[in-house]
Amino acid sequence: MLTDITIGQYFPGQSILHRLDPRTKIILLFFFIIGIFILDTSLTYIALTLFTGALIYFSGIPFKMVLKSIKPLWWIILFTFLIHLCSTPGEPVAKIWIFSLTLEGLRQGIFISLRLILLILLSSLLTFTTSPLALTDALENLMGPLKRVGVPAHELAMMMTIALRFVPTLIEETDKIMKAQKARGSDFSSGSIVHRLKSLIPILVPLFISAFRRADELAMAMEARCYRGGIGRTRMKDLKIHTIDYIAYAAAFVFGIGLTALKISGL
Amino acid sequence: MSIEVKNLTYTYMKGTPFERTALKDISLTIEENSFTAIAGHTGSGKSTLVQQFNGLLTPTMGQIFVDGVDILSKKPEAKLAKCKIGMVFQYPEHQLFEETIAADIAFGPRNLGLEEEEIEKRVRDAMAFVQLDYEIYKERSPFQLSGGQMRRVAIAGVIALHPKYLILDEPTAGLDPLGRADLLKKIAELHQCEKTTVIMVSHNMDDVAMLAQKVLFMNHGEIIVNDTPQVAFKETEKIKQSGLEVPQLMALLQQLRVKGLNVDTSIFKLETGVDEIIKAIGRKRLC
Repeated sequence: MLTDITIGQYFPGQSILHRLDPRTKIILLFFFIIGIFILDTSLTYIALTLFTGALIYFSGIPFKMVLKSIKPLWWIILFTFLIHLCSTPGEPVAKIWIFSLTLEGLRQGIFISLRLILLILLSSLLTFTTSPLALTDALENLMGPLKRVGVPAHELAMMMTIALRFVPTLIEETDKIMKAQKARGSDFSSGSIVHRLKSLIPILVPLFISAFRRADELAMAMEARCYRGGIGRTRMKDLKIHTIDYIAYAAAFVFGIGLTALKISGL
Repeated sequence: MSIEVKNLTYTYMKGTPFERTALKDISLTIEENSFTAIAGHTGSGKSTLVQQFNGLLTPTMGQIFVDGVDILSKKPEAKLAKCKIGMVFQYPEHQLFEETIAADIAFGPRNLGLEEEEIEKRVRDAMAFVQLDYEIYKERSPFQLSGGQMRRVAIAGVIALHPKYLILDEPTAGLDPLGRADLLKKIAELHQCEKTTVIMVSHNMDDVAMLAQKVLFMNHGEIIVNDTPQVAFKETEKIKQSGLEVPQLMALLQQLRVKGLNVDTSIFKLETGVDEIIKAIGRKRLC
């Protein structure tokens, strides 16, 4: 069913990760990503993997659901693994046709795949535990300093918010129009490609018309409520840094120092 | 011959935190040539229920038979059975897409694979039925029409399919009083003259009282009343419970009774209601 799609994959909950300020989550994610790239020894990877596992556990999101986020990138991960396995110079263990598999390659391949998997898992944890609106709010806030050099941070965030807001609406609309045309006997799932493309016209035309009508109405409604951009605008829910955020920063800092120490000591 | 629903349950987004059961173990029969009204507040499951009848939604559990054919089976008869059901959605004017009105109405019949002549005849008839002049309107774009006219074109698009069962989901929503009365008259005509079985989803109890032979009240995905209007409207408590009101006429009669006028409060048709009040006043004068 079309309406069964979850957008932004937000998974409501009350865990520590849900309660953190979205800005904290974005900043920490950013540092973890850098960490994953710089700190590349076996022990640090084990530590990072355990850490990610612990985060997923604490977030209260079913493990299966988080793992699903890797699914679309599964082939890329496998492909990079194979490339590294076959193209890293070193002591050959086995030889298949023109490719020689090396121990170094295996190690490198595992590292790179693990790196990709951790990246995906951590970033999807962010979107799993943060509602899309909180996320755009946080982005606007973090982009704040860029306003001075002329980046329209508020407008960008507003555009994202509106786009996100209308995704479910448009999906619902598409679903409704599809059903209406189906009830009039149109068939979207059989026939040649040309036929199938043609059968999309009865959906796309009404969908575009209603999208434009909605855009028009929204613009009118915003103007009627005196919207004129971000200047001087206050919000109902201000983002606030709480104790829990300071604790998160401190914990992340200690964890980072520990990992760096592991890397420097060469373990 | 009828639409028969057996132990139907429907759950939205099963297996996610957004899981919601919209219909709980529903069984009902809609007889041929009947006029059934389904009423309930927003979210009570009435739209979800009617979309099961022609296979637009597939029940999580349960069975649906249209004229004795199980429409959930993969057999070719199932597809034919679904074609007997025409469905007019809420705000049907949002589904128009063709360049001309005639082409849009012809979309359904064309999908049925009919001959060109038959299609043209059906378009003419359907347009005559919704009172749009064929010669004047056939070449016009549906997007130049007013909202009420667009709705008539959309309804004509479904009528042209010659459905045996016609489902209308809130057909009068957003129409002006005149357009509403017009449309309801047409629906009644379709039921009486063409012998079409009509299923109308509505939360306007006055419309329901005027037309329906059978009334279904829904609340939280369950049918709480399924009876003739004479019996159904007596369940004042259940009607209130499901977030609806009794028809205005009944409310008036009840008020009059409280004020001491001896009227029969089970009347829901306007004509008989007026007579009853006049009679009651006459009786009072005689005393």
